[in-house]
Amino acid sequence: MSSDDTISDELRRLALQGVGSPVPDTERILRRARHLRTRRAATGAIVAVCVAAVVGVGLSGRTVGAHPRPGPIATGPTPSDTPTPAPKPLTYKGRGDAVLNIAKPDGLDAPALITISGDGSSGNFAVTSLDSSLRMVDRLVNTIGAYSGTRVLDPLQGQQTARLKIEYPGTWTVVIHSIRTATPFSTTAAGTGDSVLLYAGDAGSLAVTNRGSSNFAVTTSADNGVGGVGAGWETVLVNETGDYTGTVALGAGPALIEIQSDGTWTLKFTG
Amino acid sequence: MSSREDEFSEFVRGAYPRLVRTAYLLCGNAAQAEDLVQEALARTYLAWPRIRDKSALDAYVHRAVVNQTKSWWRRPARRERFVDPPEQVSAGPGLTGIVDRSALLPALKALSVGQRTTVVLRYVGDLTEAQTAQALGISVGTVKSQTSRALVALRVSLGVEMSGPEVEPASDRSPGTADQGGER
Repeated sequence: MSSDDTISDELRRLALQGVGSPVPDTERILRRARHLRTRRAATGAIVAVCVAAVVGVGLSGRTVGAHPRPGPIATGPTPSDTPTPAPKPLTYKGRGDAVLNIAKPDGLDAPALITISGDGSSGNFAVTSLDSSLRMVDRLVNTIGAYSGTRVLDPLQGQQTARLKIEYPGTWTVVIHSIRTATPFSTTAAGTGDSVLLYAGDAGSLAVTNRGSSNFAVTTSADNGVGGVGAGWETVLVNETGDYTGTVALGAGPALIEIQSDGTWTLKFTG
Repeated sequence: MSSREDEFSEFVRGAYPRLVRTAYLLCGNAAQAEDLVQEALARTYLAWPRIRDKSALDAYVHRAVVNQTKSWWRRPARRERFVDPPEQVSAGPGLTGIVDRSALLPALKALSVGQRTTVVLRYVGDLTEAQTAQALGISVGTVKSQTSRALVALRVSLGVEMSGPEVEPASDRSPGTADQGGER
């Protein structure tokens, strides 16, 4: 027996030892499927409404919204017609550790964009979203020193962030804005740091690059186009560490694309 | 129960243990593995009418499991759980004495995400190279090279004697179940 056979046999034994022979609860899985269908419908409706609003604003090749830092640059065809103004962004500023009571522009149940920045003070910079019972919803930022980026707040149906816990020794700014202010993306985009794009195009190939040193993740609310697996928010297109170059399958919009990067990244829709 | 549910239930009964074992080696936690697999199966059920080629189900559902696991990895607080010691891992009967099984999980964790996912899908998910490529959205050549590199890394981590060249030509490698039966 070769060492490779030994390793593969031991992997199987390890897995068997860890979980045995589990019996599926099919009824429970079907209940989860029904819940998921409801959740997708709700999230999809919110994103679709917001995309429609953005398309109506007539955006092309420019950053939209109230980003307090240079946002990603995206180019593509120029939609037009009646503008539907997004709700005004909500800005919170402070210094040192804090727990904020926050509001969301499109309501408690809707996802939002959250742009967070610090003054570059040394020390840990952590921002955690909490629900009204102070249970953790998500860890939005966890880094050392300077940070400036945009994340999706409450992407999943049922998430209801009511407070933010901020841990940072310096001066910080938090801006919460409607997802309709996300940068529209149709063919190319480039940016630095955590960013969120709004995609309204067809399914196809997406060429992705990143130059960074830490976790690099690209997540979308679109069906990833491979038989619908992972459809709905949290379809992970890329999840690597450091530099990355590759092409992934992007599902049809309307959809949000969230990029998590500590460096510079590019996206190019190649059809 | 509808015919769709009947078909799905039959598929789940056959695939579930293997899927949970695969997820377990990806996330390192038995309870989390079942949760990830159930979510992946729920998503698969919703896509069931669109899956025309049911022979591709294995790759399809494994892709869903990998997607779910990657989502789970994204959360820093969750990702740390991988280092939890696995339940009741010890040198059990049937061991050849060459591999320390208790060291396997940490050794798997030390692999890159691509190598870990590939080697687990090949050996524990029992997917062929082509199915693994389909499940991960990568080429068969990449599956071969990732698997080969993962095996080298595992051999080094576990102190297993080399049985051949450090990195064998990708085209010559056909590990796991394919050794006996070739590509399925």
